[in-house]
Amino acid sequence: MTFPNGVFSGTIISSVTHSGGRVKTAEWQLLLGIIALPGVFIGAYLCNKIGRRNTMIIGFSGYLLFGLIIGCAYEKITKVIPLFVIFYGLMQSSGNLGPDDMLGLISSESYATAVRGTCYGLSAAIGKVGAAVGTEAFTPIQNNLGKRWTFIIAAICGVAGILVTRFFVRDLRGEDLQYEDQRFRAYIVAHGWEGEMGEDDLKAPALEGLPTDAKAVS
Amino acid sequence: MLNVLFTQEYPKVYTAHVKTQVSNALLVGEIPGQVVVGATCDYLGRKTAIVMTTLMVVVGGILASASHGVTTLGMFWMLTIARGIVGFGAGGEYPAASTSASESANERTLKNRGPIFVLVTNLPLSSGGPLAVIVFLIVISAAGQTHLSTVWRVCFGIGCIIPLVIFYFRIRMLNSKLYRAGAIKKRVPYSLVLRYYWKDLIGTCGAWFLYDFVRPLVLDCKNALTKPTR
Repeated sequence: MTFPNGVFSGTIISSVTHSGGRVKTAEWQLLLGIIALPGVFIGAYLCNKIGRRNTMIIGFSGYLLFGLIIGCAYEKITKVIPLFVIFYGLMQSSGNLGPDDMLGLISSESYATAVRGTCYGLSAAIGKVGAAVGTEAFTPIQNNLGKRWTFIIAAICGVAGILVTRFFVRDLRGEDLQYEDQRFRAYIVAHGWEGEMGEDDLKAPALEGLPTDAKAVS
Repeated sequence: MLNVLFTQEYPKVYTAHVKTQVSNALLVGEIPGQVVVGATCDYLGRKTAIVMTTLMVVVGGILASASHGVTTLGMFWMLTIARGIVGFGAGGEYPAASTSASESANERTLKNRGPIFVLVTNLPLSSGGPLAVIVFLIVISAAGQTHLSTVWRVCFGIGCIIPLVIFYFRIRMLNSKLYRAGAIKKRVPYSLVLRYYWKDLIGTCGAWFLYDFVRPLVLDCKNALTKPTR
Protein backbone atom coordinates (compact mmCIF):
# COMPACT_ATOMS: atom_id res chain seq x y z
CA MET A 1 0.00 0.00 0.00
CA THR A 2 1.40 3.37 0.84
CA PHE A 3 5.14 3.72 0.74
CA PRO A 4 6.46 5.01 4.07
CA ASN A 5 7.44 8.30 2.53
CA GLY A 6 7.12 10.44 5.63
CA VAL A 7 10.80 10.45 6.40
CA PHE A 8 12.18 10.23 2.90
CA SER A 9 10.07 12.78 1.14
CA GLY A 10 11.21 15.43 3.57
CA THR A 11 14.63 15.22 1.99
CA ILE A 12 13.20 15.02 -1.49
CA ILE A 13 11.12 18.13 -1.13
CA SER A 14 13.81 20.08 0.62
CA SER A 15 15.84 19.66 -2.55
CA VAL A 16 12.87 20.90 -4.60
CA THR A 17 12.27 24.05 -2.65
CA HIS A 18 15.84 25.21 -2.34
CA SER A 19 14.82 28.54 -0.89
CA GLY A 20 12.41 27.44 1.83
CA GLY A 21 13.15 26.20 5.31
CA ARG A 22 11.55 23.49 7.40
CA VAL A 23 8.09 25.03 7.39
CA LYS A 24 8.08 25.49 3.62
CA THR A 25 9.09 21.86 3.18
CA ALA A 26 6.28 20.73 5.46
CA GLU A 27 3.75 22.84 3.56
CA TRP A 28 4.80 21.23 0.29
CA GLN A 29 4.46 17.82 1.84
CA LEU A 30 0.99 18.68 3.10
CA LEU A 31 -0.10 19.80 -0.37
CA LEU A 32 1.23 16.64 -2.01
CA GLY A 33 -0.44 14.49 0.64
CA ILE A 34 -3.81 16.15 0.17
CA ILE A 35 -3.66 15.74 -3.61
CA ALA A 36 -3.83 11.98 -2.98
CA LEU A 37 -7.20 12.10 -1.22
CA PRO A 38 -9.75 12.50 -4.09
CA GLY A 39 -8.43 9.34 -5.73
CA VAL A 40 -9.27 7.34 -2.61
CA PHE A 41 -12.96 8.26 -2.95
CA ILE A 42 -13.05 7.59 -6.69
CA GLY A 43 -11.64 4.12 -6.11
CA ALA A 44 -14.18 3.44 -3.37
CA TYR A 45 -16.95 4.35 -5.82
CA LEU A 46 -15.57 2.42 -8.77
CA CYS A 47 -14.91 -0.85 -6.96
CA ASN A 48 -18.64 -1.63 -6.78
CA LYS A 49 -19.56 0.03 -10.07
CA ILE A 50 -17.08 -1.71 -12.38
CA GLY A 51 -15.49 -4.19 -10.00
CA ARG A 52 -12.23 -4.57 -8.11
CA ARG A 53 -10.25 -6.04 -10.96
CA ASN A 54 -11.27 -3.42 -13.51
CA THR A 55 -10.60 -0.59 -11.06
CA MET A 56 -7.09 -1.87 -10.48
CA ILE A 57 -6.55 -2.30 -14.22
CA ILE A 58 -7.62 1.31 -14.77
CA GLY A 59 -5.09 2.42 -12.17
CA PHE A 60 -2.22 0.52 -13.77
CA SER A 61 -3.34 1.77 -17.20
CA GLY A 62 -2.92 5.30 -15.90
CA TYR A 63 0.69 4.51 -15.06
CA LEU A 64 1.14 3.10 -18.54
CA LEU A 65 -0.53 6.00 -20.34
CA PHE A 66 0.81 8.98 -18.40
CA GLY A 67 4.18 7.32 -17.85
CA LEU A 68 4.57 6.94 -21.61
CA ILE A 69 3.35 10.47 -22.34
CA ILE A 70 5.70 12.08 -19.83
CA GLY A 71 8.56 9.70 -20.61
CA CYS A 72 8.43 10.13 -24.38
CA ALA A 73 7.83 13.87 -24.47
CA TYR A 74 9.94 14.56 -21.42
CA GLU A 75 11.96 17.47 -22.78
CA LYS A 76 8.88 19.27 -24.07
CA ILE A 77 6.59 18.61 -21.14
CA THR A 78 8.98 19.67 -18.40
CA LYS A 79 9.32 23.07 -20.06
CA VAL A 80 5.61 23.73 -19.57
CA ILE A 81 5.26 23.33 -15.83
CA PRO A 82 1.42 23.44 -15.58
CA LEU A 83 1.19 20.69 -18.19
CA PHE A 84 3.69 18.57 -16.30
CA VAL A 85 1.81 19.09 -13.05
CA ILE A 86 -1.46 18.03 -14.70
CA PHE A 87 -0.03 14.84 -16.18
CA TYR A 88 1.87 14.07 -13.02
CA GLY A 89 -1.27 14.64 -10.93
CA LEU A 90 -3.31 12.37 -13.19
CA MET A 91 -0.67 9.68 -12.93
CA GLN A 92 -0.61 9.92 -9.15
CA SER A 93 -4.39 9.84 -8.93
CA SER A 94 -4.68 6.78 -11.12
CA GLY A 95 -2.32 5.04 -8.70
CA ASN A 96 -4.39 6.16 -5.72
CA LEU A 97 -7.75 5.08 -7.07
CA GLY A 98 -6.39 1.88 -8.59
CA PRO A 99 -3.79 -0.29 -6.87
CA ASP A 100 -3.60 1.88 -3.76
CA ASP A 101 -7.29 1.36 -3.00
CA MET A 102 -7.70 -2.13 -4.44
CA LEU A 103 -4.64 -4.08 -3.22
CA GLY A 104 -5.83 -4.30 0.37
CA LEU A 105 -9.41 -5.01 -0.60
CA ILE A 106 -8.53 -7.74 -3.08
CA SER A 107 -5.98 -9.31 -0.73
CA SER A 108 -8.56 -9.54 2.03
CA GLU A 109 -11.41 -10.84 -0.14
CA SER A 110 -9.57 -13.46 -2.15
CA TYR A 111 -8.64 -15.79 0.69
CA ALA A 112 -10.61 -17.99 3.05
CA THR A 113 -10.93 -16.77 6.64
CA ALA A 114 -8.57 -19.49 7.92
CA VAL A 115 -5.62 -18.06 5.97
CA ARG A 116 -6.78 -14.51 5.27
CA GLY A 117 -4.34 -12.86 7.65
CA THR A 118 -1.40 -14.99 6.52
CA CYS A 119 -1.97 -14.45 2.80
CA TYR A 120 -2.74 -10.78 3.25
CA GLY A 121 0.35 -10.26 5.41
CA LEU A 122 2.53 -12.10 2.92
CA SER A 123 1.25 -10.01 0.01
CA ALA A 124 1.74 -6.76 1.91
CA ALA A 125 5.25 -7.83 2.95
CA ILE A 126 6.20 -8.60 -0.66
CA GLY A 127 4.94 -5.12 -1.45
CA LYS A 128 7.23 -3.63 1.19
CA VAL A 129 10.16 -5.59 -0.23
CA GLY A 130 9.25 -4.00 -3.56
CA ALA A 131 9.33 -0.59 -1.94
CA ALA A 132 12.79 -1.29 -0.50
CA VAL A 133 14.09 -2.50 -3.88
CA GLY A 134 12.53 0.48 -5.63
CA THR A 135 14.12 2.94 -3.23
CA GLU A 136 17.52 1.32 -3.69
CA ALA A 137 17.21 1.06 -7.47
CA PHE A 138 16.03 4.58 -7.90
CA THR A 139 19.25 6.57 -7.57
CA PRO A 140 21.22 4.31 -9.97
CA ILE A 141 18.35 4.48 -12.48
CA GLN A 142 18.25 8.25 -12.41
CA ASN A 143 22.00 8.62 -12.56
CA ASN A 144 22.57 6.16 -15.36
CA LEU A 145 19.46 6.44 -17.48
CA GLY A 146 18.15 9.92 -16.71
CA LYS A 147 14.86 11.09 -15.28
CA ARG A 148 12.70 10.33 -18.30
CA TRP A 149 13.41 6.63 -17.76
CA THR A 150 11.76 6.83 -14.38
CA PHE A 151 8.51 7.40 -16.23
CA ILE A 152 9.16 4.76 -18.84
CA ILE A 153 9.87 2.24 -16.09
CA ALA A 154 6.61 3.31 -14.44
CA ALA A 155 4.86 2.59 -17.75
CA ILE A 156 6.49 -0.85 -17.96
CA CYS A 157 5.37 -1.63 -14.40
CA GLY A 158 1.92 -0.46 -15.48
CA VAL A 159 1.81 -3.07 -18.27
CA ALA A 160 3.06 -5.79 -15.95
CA GLY A 161 0.46 -4.73 -13.37
CA ILE A 162 -2.34 -4.93 -15.93
CA LEU A 163 -1.29 -8.44 -16.95
CA VAL A 164 -0.91 -9.74 -13.40
CA THR A 165 -4.27 -8.27 -12.44
CA ARG A 166 -6.05 -9.55 -15.53
CA PHE A 167 -4.83 -13.10 -15.24
CA PHE A 168 -4.33 -13.70 -11.53
CA VAL A 169 -6.84 -11.57 -9.65
CA ARG A 170 -10.43 -12.61 -9.01
CA ASP A 171 -13.28 -10.15 -8.61
CA LEU A 172 -15.41 -11.19 -5.67
CA ARG A 173 -17.62 -8.14 -5.34
CA GLY A 174 -21.05 -8.86 -3.96
CA GLU A 175 -20.27 -12.43 -2.93
CA ASP A 176 -20.53 -13.25 0.76
CA LEU A 177 -17.09 -14.18 2.13
CA GLN A 178 -18.57 -17.33 3.63
CA TYR A 179 -18.83 -18.94 0.17
CA GLU A 180 -15.08 -18.74 -0.35
CA ASP A 181 -14.72 -20.24 3.13
CA GLN A 182 -16.96 -23.13 2.11
CA ARG A 183 -15.12 -23.76 -1.15
CA PHE A 184 -11.79 -23.78 0.70
CA ARG A 185 -13.14 -26.02 3.43
CA ALA A 186 -14.53 -28.47 0.87
CA TYR A 187 -11.17 -28.47 -0.93
CA ILE A 188 -9.03 -29.26 2.11
CA VAL A 189 -11.51 -31.87 3.35
CA ALA A 190 -11.52 -33.49 -0.11
CA HIS A 191 -7.73 -33.61 0.07
CA GLY A 192 -7.70 -35.47 3.33
CA TRP A 193 -7.30 -32.73 5.91
CA GLU A 194 -8.96 -33.63 9.18
CA GLY A 195 -9.13 -31.33 12.11
CA GLU A 196 -11.23 -28.81 13.91
CA MET A 197 -12.13 -25.43 12.51
CA GLY A 198 -13.42 -22.37 14.27
CA GLU A 199 -13.49 -21.44 17.94
CA ASP A 200 -15.87 -20.99 20.87
CA ASP A 201 -19.53 -21.29 19.95
CA LEU A 202 -18.95 -22.15 16.29
CA LYS A 203 -16.17 -24.72 16.60
CA ALA A 204 -16.67 -27.94 14.60
CA PRO A 205 -14.71 -30.68 12.83
CA ALA A 206 -13.87 -29.59 9.27
CA LEU A 207 -16.19 -32.09 7.62
CA GLU A 208 -19.21 -31.29 9.77
CA GLY A 209 -19.00 -27.60 9.07
CA LEU A 210 -19.69 -28.11 5.39
CA PRO A 211 -23.15 -27.42 4.00
CA THR A 212 -24.83 -30.61 2.71
CA ASP A 213 -24.47 -29.82 -0.99
CA ALA A 214 -20.76 -29.14 -0.63
CA LYS A 215 -20.33 -32.44 1.17
CA ALA A 216 -21.89 -34.25 -1.77
CA VAL A 217 -19.40 -32.59 -4.12
CA SER A 218 -16.42 -33.51 -2.03
CA MET B 1 10.27 15.80 7.93
CA LEU B 2 12.39 14.24 10.63
CA ASN B 3 15.40 13.92 8.37
CA VAL B 4 15.47 17.63 7.68
CA LEU B 5 14.98 18.43 11.35
CA PHE B 6 17.60 16.02 12.70
CA THR B 7 20.15 17.18 10.14
CA GLN B 8 19.77 20.73 11.37
CA GLU B 9 19.62 19.94 15.08
CA TYR B 10 22.39 17.30 15.21
CA PRO B 11 24.57 18.03 12.17
CA LYS B 12 27.67 16.28 13.57
CA VAL B 13 26.11 13.01 14.71
CA TYR B 14 23.30 12.67 12.16
CA THR B 15 25.49 11.51 9.31
CA ALA B 16 24.29 9.78 6.15
CA HIS B 17 24.88 6.46 7.87
CA VAL B 18 22.80 7.26 10.96
CA LYS B 19 20.17 8.80 8.72
CA THR B 20 19.77 5.59 6.72
CA GLN B 21 19.67 3.61 9.95
CA VAL B 22 16.90 5.71 11.50
CA SER B 23 14.93 5.89 8.24
CA ASN B 24 15.10 2.19 7.48
CA ALA B 25 14.23 1.05 11.01
CA LEU B 26 10.55 1.49 10.24
CA LEU B 27 10.67 -0.57 7.07
CA VAL B 28 12.84 -3.24 8.67
CA GLY B 29 10.23 -3.59 11.42
CA GLU B 30 7.29 -3.52 9.03
CA ILE B 31 8.16 -6.47 6.83
CA PRO B 32 8.40 -9.10 9.61
CA GLY B 33 5.48 -7.36 11.32
CA GLN B 34 3.23 -8.00 8.35
CA VAL B 35 4.18 -11.65 8.08
CA VAL B 36 4.20 -12.51 11.79
CA VAL B 37 1.05 -10.61 12.71
CA GLY B 38 -0.64 -11.95 9.56
CA ALA B 39 -0.12 -15.48 10.84
CA THR B 40 -1.07 -14.40 14.38
CA CYS B 41 -4.46 -13.13 13.15
CA ASP B 42 -5.17 -16.60 11.82
CA TYR B 43 -3.73 -18.69 14.67
CA LEU B 44 -4.65 -16.66 17.74
CA GLY B 45 -7.48 -14.56 16.42
CA ARG B 46 -8.20 -11.11 15.07
CA LYS B 47 -8.61 -9.57 18.48
CA THR B 48 -5.34 -10.82 19.96
CA ALA B 49 -3.46 -9.60 16.90
CA ILE B 50 -5.06 -6.18 16.75
CA VAL B 51 -4.59 -5.53 20.48
CA MET B 52 -0.95 -6.58 20.13
CA THR B 53 -0.22 -4.23 17.21
CA THR B 54 -1.86 -1.26 18.95
CA LEU B 55 0.23 -1.88 22.06
CA MET B 56 3.44 -2.06 20.04
CA VAL B 57 2.70 1.21 18.27
CA VAL B 58 1.97 2.95 21.58
CA VAL B 59 4.96 1.49 23.46
CA GLY B 60 7.31 2.12 20.52
CA GLY B 61 5.99 5.66 20.18
CA ILE B 62 6.56 6.40 23.86
CA LEU B 63 10.09 4.98 23.69
CA ALA B 64 10.80 7.07 20.58
CA SER B 65 9.63 10.31 22.14
CA ALA B 66 11.66 9.56 25.27
CA SER B 67 14.82 8.54 23.37
CA HIS B 68 17.84 9.22 25.51
CA GLY B 69 21.47 8.26 25.56
CA VAL B 70 24.79 9.14 27.20
CA THR B 71 25.90 10.24 23.75
CA THR B 72 23.77 11.65 20.96
CA LEU B 73 24.62 8.60 18.90
CA GLY B 74 23.26 6.47 21.74
CA MET B 75 20.05 8.44 21.60
CA PHE B 76 19.75 7.72 17.89
CA TRP B 77 20.24 4.03 18.61
CA MET B 78 17.35 4.10 21.04
CA LEU B 79 15.30 5.94 18.44
CA THR B 80 16.20 3.33 15.84
CA ILE B 81 15.00 0.50 18.05
CA ALA B 82 11.86 2.37 19.08
CA ARG B 83 11.04 2.99 15.43
CA GLY B 84 11.64 -0.66 14.72
CA ILE B 85 9.01 -1.55 17.35
CA VAL B 86 6.58 1.00 15.90
CA GLY B 87 7.30 -0.43 12.45
CA PHE B 88 6.56 -3.97 13.56
CA GLY B 89 3.26 -2.83 15.04
CA ALA B 90 2.38 -0.64 12.06
CA GLY B 91 3.25 -3.44 9.65
CA GLY B 92 1.08 -5.77 11.68
CA GLU B 93 -1.78 -3.30 11.44
CA TYR B 94 -2.10 -4.12 7.74
CA PRO B 95 -3.30 -7.71 8.15
CA ALA B 96 -4.82 -7.22 11.61
CA ALA B 97 -7.00 -4.26 10.71
CA SER B 98 -7.80 -5.44 7.19
CA THR B 99 -9.03 -8.90 8.15
CA SER B 100 -11.32 -7.41 10.81
CA ALA B 101 -12.50 -4.64 8.49
CA SER B 102 -13.45 -6.93 5.62
CA GLU B 103 -15.10 -9.48 7.89
CA SER B 104 -17.24 -7.02 9.78
CA ALA B 105 -18.15 -5.13 6.60
CA ASN B 106 -19.18 -8.49 5.16
CA GLU B 107 -21.39 -9.13 8.18
CA ARG B 108 -23.05 -5.74 8.31
CA THR B 109 -23.26 -4.45 4.78
CA LEU B 110 -22.40 -7.10 2.25
CA LYS B 111 -23.37 -4.99 -0.76
CA ASN B 112 -21.12 -2.12 0.25
CA ARG B 113 -18.25 -4.21 1.58
CA GLY B 114 -15.81 -2.80 -1.00
CA PRO B 115 -16.46 0.93 -0.56
CA ILE B 116 -16.69 0.61 3.23
CA PHE B 117 -13.41 -1.32 3.34
CA VAL B 118 -11.65 1.34 1.27
CA LEU B 119 -13.08 4.15 3.40
CA VAL B 120 -12.02 2.58 6.70
CA THR B 121 -8.55 1.47 5.60
CA ASN B 122 -7.22 3.54 2.69
CA LEU B 123 -8.80 6.83 3.67
CA PRO B 124 -7.25 6.97 7.16
CA LEU B 125 -3.99 5.70 5.68
CA SER B 126 -3.93 8.53 3.16
CA SER B 127 -5.10 11.15 5.66
CA GLY B 128 -2.52 10.12 8.24
CA GLY B 129 0.37 11.68 6.31
CA PRO B 130 -1.22 15.12 5.93
CA LEU B 131 -2.46 14.98 9.54
CA ALA B 132 1.07 14.29 10.78
CA VAL B 133 2.35 17.26 8.80
CA ILE B 134 -0.40 19.50 10.21
CA VAL B 135 0.58 18.41 13.74
CA PHE B 136 4.21 19.15 12.90
CA LEU B 137 3.37 22.63 11.60
CA ILE B 138 1.34 23.47 14.71
CA VAL B 139 4.00 22.13 17.08
CA ILE B 140 6.86 23.93 15.35
CA SER B 141 4.88 27.19 15.38
CA ALA B 142 4.17 26.78 19.08
CA ALA B 143 7.63 25.65 20.18
CA GLY B 144 9.56 27.93 17.89
CA GLN B 145 12.26 27.15 15.38
CA THR B 146 14.97 27.11 18.04
CA HIS B 147 13.55 24.25 20.11
CA LEU B 148 13.78 21.45 17.61
CA SER B 149 14.30 18.74 20.25
CA THR B 150 10.95 19.70 21.81
CA VAL B 151 9.36 19.62 18.36
CA TRP B 152 10.25 16.06 17.45
CA ARG B 153 9.60 14.67 20.91
CA VAL B 154 6.18 16.28 21.14
CA CYS B 155 5.32 15.06 17.62
CA PHE B 156 6.17 11.47 18.55
CA GLY B 157 4.19 11.83 21.76
CA ILE B 158 1.08 13.16 20.02
CA GLY B 159 1.40 10.25 17.64
CA CYS B 160 0.63 7.88 20.53
CA ILE B 161 -2.71 9.49 21.37
CA ILE B 162 -4.79 8.14 18.49
CA PRO B 163 -3.68 4.51 18.94
CA LEU B 164 -4.35 4.85 22.67
CA VAL B 165 -7.92 5.98 22.01
CA ILE B 166 -8.42 3.17 19.49
CA PHE B 167 -7.02 0.70 22.00
CA TYR B 168 -10.08 1.20 24.19
CA PHE B 169 -12.40 0.15 21.39
CA ARG B 170 -10.27 -2.74 20.27
CA ILE B 171 -10.09 -4.29 23.70
CA ARG B 172 -13.89 -4.51 23.62
CA MET B 173 -14.26 -6.09 20.21
CA LEU B 174 -15.00 -9.75 19.40
CA ASN B 175 -13.60 -12.05 16.76
CA SER B 176 -15.84 -12.03 13.69
CA LYS B 177 -18.44 -14.70 13.08
CA LEU B 178 -16.52 -15.82 10.01
CA TYR B 179 -13.42 -16.35 12.14
CA ARG B 180 -15.29 -18.19 14.87
CA ALA B 181 -16.62 -20.57 12.21
CA GLY B 182 -13.70 -20.91 9.80
CA ALA B 183 -10.43 -20.52 11.70
CA ILE B 184 -7.76 -23.21 11.61
CA LYS B 185 -5.71 -23.02 14.79
CA LYS B 186 -3.66 -26.17 14.50
CA ARG B 187 -1.84 -27.96 11.67
CA VAL B 188 -2.64 -25.47 8.94
CA PRO B 189 -2.30 -27.41 5.65
CA TYR B 190 0.04 -24.92 3.96
CA SER B 191 0.82 -27.15 1.00
CA LEU B 192 -2.91 -27.40 0.24
CA VAL B 193 -3.24 -23.65 0.73
CA LEU B 194 -0.50 -23.11 -1.83
CA ARG B 195 -2.07 -25.51 -4.30
CA TYR B 196 -5.46 -23.89 -3.87
CA TYR B 197 -4.37 -20.24 -3.84
CA TRP B 198 -1.22 -20.07 -5.97
CA LYS B 199 -2.94 -18.01 -8.62
CA ASP B 200 -4.38 -15.49 -6.18
CA LEU B 201 -1.03 -15.26 -4.40
CA ILE B 202 0.74 -14.43 -7.67
CA GLY B 203 -1.97 -11.83 -8.27
CA THR B 204 -1.87 -10.04 -4.92
CA CYS B 205 1.87 -10.39 -4.23
CA GLY B 206 2.81 -9.54 -7.82
CA ALA B 207 0.60 -6.47 -8.14
CA TRP B 208 1.62 -5.25 -4.70
CA PHE B 209 5.32 -5.66 -5.49
CA LEU B 210 5.02 -3.82 -8.80
CA TYR B 211 3.04 -0.93 -7.37
CA ASP B 212 5.23 -0.38 -4.32
CA PHE B 213 8.37 -0.82 -6.40
CA VAL B 214 7.51 1.98 -8.77
CA ARG B 215 5.95 4.34 -6.23
CA PRO B 216 9.15 5.80 -4.77
CA LEU B 217 10.35 6.45 -8.30
CA VAL B 218 7.19 8.24 -9.27
CA LEU B 219 6.91 10.12 -5.98
CA ASP B 220 10.35 11.55 -6.44
CA CYS B 221 9.67 12.88 -9.90
CA LYS B 222 8.51 16.17 -8.54
CA ASN B 223 12.23 16.88 -8.64
CA ALA B 224 11.84 17.21 -12.37
CA LEU B 225 9.87 20.37 -11.74
CA THR B 226 12.62 22.47 -10.32
CA LYS B 227 15.84 20.67 -11.02
CA PRO B 228 17.30 20.92 -14.50
CA THR B 229 17.90 17.47 -15.93
CA ARG B 230 20.61 16.20 -18.15
